[in-house]
Amino acid sequence: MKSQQRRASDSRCGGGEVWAFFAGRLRCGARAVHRDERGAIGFLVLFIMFALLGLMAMVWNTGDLATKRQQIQNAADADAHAAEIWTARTANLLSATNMLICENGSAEAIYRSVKPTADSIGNELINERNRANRALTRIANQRASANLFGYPSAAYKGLVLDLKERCLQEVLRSLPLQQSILNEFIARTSPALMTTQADDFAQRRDQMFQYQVEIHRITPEVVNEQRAAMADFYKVQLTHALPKTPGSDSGDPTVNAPVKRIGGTDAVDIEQPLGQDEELNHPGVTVEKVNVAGYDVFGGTWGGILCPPLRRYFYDRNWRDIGQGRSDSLYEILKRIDDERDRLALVMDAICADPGGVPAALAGAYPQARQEIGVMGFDDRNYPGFGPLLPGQSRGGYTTGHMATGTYVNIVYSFRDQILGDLGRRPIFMMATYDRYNVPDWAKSGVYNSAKNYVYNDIYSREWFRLAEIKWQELWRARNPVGNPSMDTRRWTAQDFADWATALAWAQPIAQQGCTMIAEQAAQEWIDRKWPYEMKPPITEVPPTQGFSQEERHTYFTLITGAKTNETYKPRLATLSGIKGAPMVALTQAEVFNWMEFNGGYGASDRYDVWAPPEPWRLSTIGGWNWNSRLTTFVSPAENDAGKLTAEALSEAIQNNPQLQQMLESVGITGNDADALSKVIQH
Amino acid sequence: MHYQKLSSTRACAAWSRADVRCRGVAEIEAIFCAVVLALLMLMGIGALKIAGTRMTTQNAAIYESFKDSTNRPSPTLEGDSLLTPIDGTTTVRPGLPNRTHVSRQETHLNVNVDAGQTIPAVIQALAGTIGPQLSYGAYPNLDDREDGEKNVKDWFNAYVEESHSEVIDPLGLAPAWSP
Repeated sequence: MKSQQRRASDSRCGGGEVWAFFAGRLRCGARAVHRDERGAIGFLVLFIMFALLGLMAMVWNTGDLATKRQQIQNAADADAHAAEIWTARTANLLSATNMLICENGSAEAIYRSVKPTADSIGNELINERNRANRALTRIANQRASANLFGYPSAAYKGLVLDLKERCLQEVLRSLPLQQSILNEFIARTSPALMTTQADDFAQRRDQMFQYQVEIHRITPEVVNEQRAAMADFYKVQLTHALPKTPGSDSGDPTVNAPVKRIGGTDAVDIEQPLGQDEELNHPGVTVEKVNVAGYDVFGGTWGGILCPPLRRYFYDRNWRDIGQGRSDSLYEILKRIDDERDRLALVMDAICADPGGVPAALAGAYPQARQEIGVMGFDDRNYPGFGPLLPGQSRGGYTTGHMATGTYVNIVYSFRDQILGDLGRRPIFMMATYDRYNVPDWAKSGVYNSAKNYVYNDIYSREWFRLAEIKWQELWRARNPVGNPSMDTRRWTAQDFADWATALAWAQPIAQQGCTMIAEQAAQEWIDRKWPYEMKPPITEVPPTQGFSQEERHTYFTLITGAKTNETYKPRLATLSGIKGAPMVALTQAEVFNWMEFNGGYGASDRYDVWAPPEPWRLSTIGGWNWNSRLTTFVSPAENDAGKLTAEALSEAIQNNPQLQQMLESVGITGNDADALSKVIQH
Repeated sequence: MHYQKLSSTRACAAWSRADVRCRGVAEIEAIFCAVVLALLMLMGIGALKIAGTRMTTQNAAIYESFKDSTNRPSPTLEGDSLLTPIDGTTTVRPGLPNRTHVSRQETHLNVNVDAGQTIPAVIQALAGTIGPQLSYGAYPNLDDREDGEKNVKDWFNAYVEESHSEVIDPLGLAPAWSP
């Protein structure tokens, strides 16, 4: 039935008029399609395929954008890391060459000391031989003379003269041996004097300095070359920003190692000639004298510092060159002369030792003979070149009264300080954190006490004995109004010793009072003035260790790299991705860091209240070539203090660098919107 | 009912030839769709896997190279025109070895490809640009990269040699105080 109706309906479709024909066909076609179920699955499949392909395209697009985003972040990371690697390397090279320059300078100090040392010791030996011969002649004359001045009896006098004569003969036997050791010293050093001229050292230092200058000069160029290569590789634009250094519309700030010259300003300007006394020569605290009970107690100058970090390395190095570095050093040769003189002292002790059984009237002759031969300075216990040993004093270390090594060390120290001054006047590089700062409040009392003790101890002995000598001379003049002997030429008698003891007792309280006054003045000025430190002194107590402050990190060591794609990306899943058609931007923060920053062995644990003068932290020298690069993490300002500081660094970098500002504005970020920034920062 | 209609000879005769050709098409299309969809899914999974591996590889490479740059002074790459040593660090001191950049032809890494799985990989050429720490270190370098400390000492000693080697022994100076 239905089939018949359908056919009847179809027959109506063949109407006569044209318009009716087409209208009829359309109606009939629609009805036919409507009724026809054939191919329905095909449409469904097509629709599903279309939908799936669209979905896949969007997924692909989103994945592609994610990859691109990863890639641009990689570009920013790589560039920041690379730039900081170069700055770290430059810092390491400059620091290392600073140390090399110090080694060269120390070698020069030793070199220049050799001849004066040999001359001085040689002259001393000749002088001693002459003195010994003259003394023997004098003894012969005294024997011939009936004058008993200073001696209680002829027997006493004869015994003293005999003992002294035997001692002097031992001296004359010892001097050729000492001379032969000195000849060995001269033979050992002569090849160095023949092959090298004194000026060669300074010339080589200049070469190293030129190397430093060149390394420093090319660093920004290298950073920019590398940035260009990376921008080309990643097909992005890269910009550099420093939190504390403004860029300009036309370019980024210069990225270079965090160094500056000694004595220079904050700006790294290596062409600027260095002034003679710029910050290198930190003058000490001077207290000339104070008056106590009508007597002057003299002070002096303390705390003068020549470029503390470099000086410390230089002094340490020189100390090793003098004799600590190897067993066959020049010091060890000269020490044999001193050993011989020590042996001589023991021999003279033995000669002048009371053998026992001596009549009481003659017993005093033995110590008197030893005393009289002692003041002639043939043995190192009484060598006059560095002052006689006094009761309670001992000689240790290098600055002893030993004739040969003492002469050598003093001469080396003299040249060492001269060369250090020369190093200081040359524009050697140092870390930029080197500057003058006040002693922090928490350390002031410790530094005050250290400084006070240091000054007091340094001058007390000297002033005590100087005042005692004045008093002793007063006492001597009271006994002998016409004479005015010096301590060196005095004739010791029992009364002299008694006067000396009296003078010491008199001078001690005066010296104590005066030295305390001087030490307090010096210490007060010490804590009131600025001192050169490599790093800013911490505001809170530091032990055991302390690194850089966040402010220093941002000032000297932080770099922010911005990367921006050349194309605009428009994700199809815009609502899901949250990014709407714009270039992509990524930011990376990196810093150079010193991995000995917290290592106490490299000065990180130096305190202000242990030594005087205050010890500057010393990353500039040994620790100064442990710089490396690392990426730092942006932390939400709300998260913790570190987050606030990193956000501050970024904020300052954006404010100071128009290039970075423009880059961020191109993706709709203006100002310092933390939420917006977090969208372009992946870590 | 509909199935019976399709399968009956009488009903079939009432349909046109086109109707007859459509029979079974749905099944074929369904099978076809399943195959295509499965293929697309596999491709998608493969793409995800490749993307993940690529990112992991890059991260692993950067991690390894960072270790390289912090624990050892070894640069790892050379030979690529984009990575030639920068002039100046070498030419300032003509006649002296390049003390700032000697890099490797290639570097071998163990790359994480999945949890607990690694594959050996060799990074060459432009990889140095992807991670600059692959090609440059913060320290002076010499040829032997196995002992970073030795390299640094050698670099230092070379300068001492140049500076005052002829007086070291006669003056009994301490050995170079290399870090």
